[in-house]
Amino acid sequence: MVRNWQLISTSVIGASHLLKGKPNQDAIRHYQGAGDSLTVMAVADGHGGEKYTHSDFGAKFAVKAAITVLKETFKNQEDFSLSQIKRLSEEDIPKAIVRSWQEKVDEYCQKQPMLNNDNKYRYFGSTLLVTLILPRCIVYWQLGDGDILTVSDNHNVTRPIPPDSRLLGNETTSLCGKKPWLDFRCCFQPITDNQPPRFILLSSDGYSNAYSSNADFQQTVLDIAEFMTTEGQAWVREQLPDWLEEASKQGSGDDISVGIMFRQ
Amino acid sequence: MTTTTKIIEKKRPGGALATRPLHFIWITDCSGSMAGDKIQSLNHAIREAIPAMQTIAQENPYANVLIRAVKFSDAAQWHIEEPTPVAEFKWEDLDADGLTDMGKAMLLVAGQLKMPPMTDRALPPVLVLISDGQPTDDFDEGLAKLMELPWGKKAVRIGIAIGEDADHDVLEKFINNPDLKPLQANNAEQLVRYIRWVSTAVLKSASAPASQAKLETAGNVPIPPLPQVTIANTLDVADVW
Repeated sequence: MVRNWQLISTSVIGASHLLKGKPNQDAIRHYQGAGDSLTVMAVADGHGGEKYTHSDFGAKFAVKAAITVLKETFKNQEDFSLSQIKRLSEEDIPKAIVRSWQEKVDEYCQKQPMLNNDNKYRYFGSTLLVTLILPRCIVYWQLGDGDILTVSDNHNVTRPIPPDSRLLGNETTSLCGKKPWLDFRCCFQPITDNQPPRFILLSSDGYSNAYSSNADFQQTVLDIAEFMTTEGQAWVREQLPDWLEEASKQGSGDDISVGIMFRQ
Repeated sequence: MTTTTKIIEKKRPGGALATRPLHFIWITDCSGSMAGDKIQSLNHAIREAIPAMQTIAQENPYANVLIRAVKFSDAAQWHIEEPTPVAEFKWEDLDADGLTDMGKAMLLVAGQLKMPPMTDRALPPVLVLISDGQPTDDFDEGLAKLMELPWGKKAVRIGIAIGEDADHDVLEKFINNPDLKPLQANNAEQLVRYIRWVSTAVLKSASAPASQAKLETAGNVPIPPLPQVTIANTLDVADVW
């Protein structure tokens, strides 16, 4: 079956994590329903601070929670109007993702009594980036640091969700926050009148932090989008881990995860 | 392997890769009361700490540690103006004379923590304020200008009081962190230990790119345990400031 959207997801362990013997604390997962009815990419970045002892699990739970919730919510999507999808996206889905993530943490902690205390969610602290493509719209969510960029057919690079001015340095909003659903930022794009982006990239902050400026990072995203056309997605899929390892070694030192959604 | 294949394999997206800058700024009191033993001890302590600082920076190659220094007495000026890579950093001795224009030093630092010249991808800057006295200009205005900047608020701010006449209230305002008090150096040995702690333990913590949830209210860089120092009354009285 020919699909409209091609997906690539790659995650590499950070060069500084290799030096310190720490695991890759990022997670990435995607899902594609039959006939492009529902396509999801989710990237999570578990916090690196010492208090977040199980953030690698927290990141895995985050991407699983996002895909589970979106599959469940939109299994009968034809029943929803666009305005209903928008409202669900802005109000109900962040809460449902948080609830699903907390249930996964609860379940894990049941088997680990040492973790089963009032601080348990903090141990699993993680960010979350999600992009959902439905036949009638695209929805983007962002909790915490990281980047979602799109490239149009005209080669324009945009950020559907602007940077969060509250976050600077190593600080991020998180699934382990007090009311984390309130910190989700959402962008709803109907595609009935507008041409959808040609290319969407989701990445943990280790990627953009490897470049000296936002302009350099945007150029990177534009170049990858171009390579998808000029060199083909199989070539990009093969090269991507090397690019990310190089970016970590010579740049941020952090784990890097990249999810690509490319319209044929 | 064909030439074409070689060229394709070398293709890489984007511009030059770069480690994240970490700006470390000494803000030093060079007023008349610092003259003599205090300023000599400060010069010695910072110079002695450089090799350890370089070692810490080498251990974390993913932070680009850049050092500068501000001095304040009658007005304030850059003592070392160019952000200097730690591997090339050399300390130039300070002299002491004049008033204590600490507020102007805050303004000078604030001018460099704006974006630009700072970028949002930097690591939190480390600001170390060292003083033995009380400001003679409008410190509150200078501090307010610094703290209204995002990087001013997010900076790791450490205050070192030299001698018993130092104004702890002013240093506490600068630090603005209930979990961290000014470090009281009553003799040269204590000053060396505090300068070394800032140059190593604090630098190490600030340069590790470990993300933290925003709920950690005291700042986004964990402050390492304070160094143990000798109690002043066990020393010769002549050595105490």
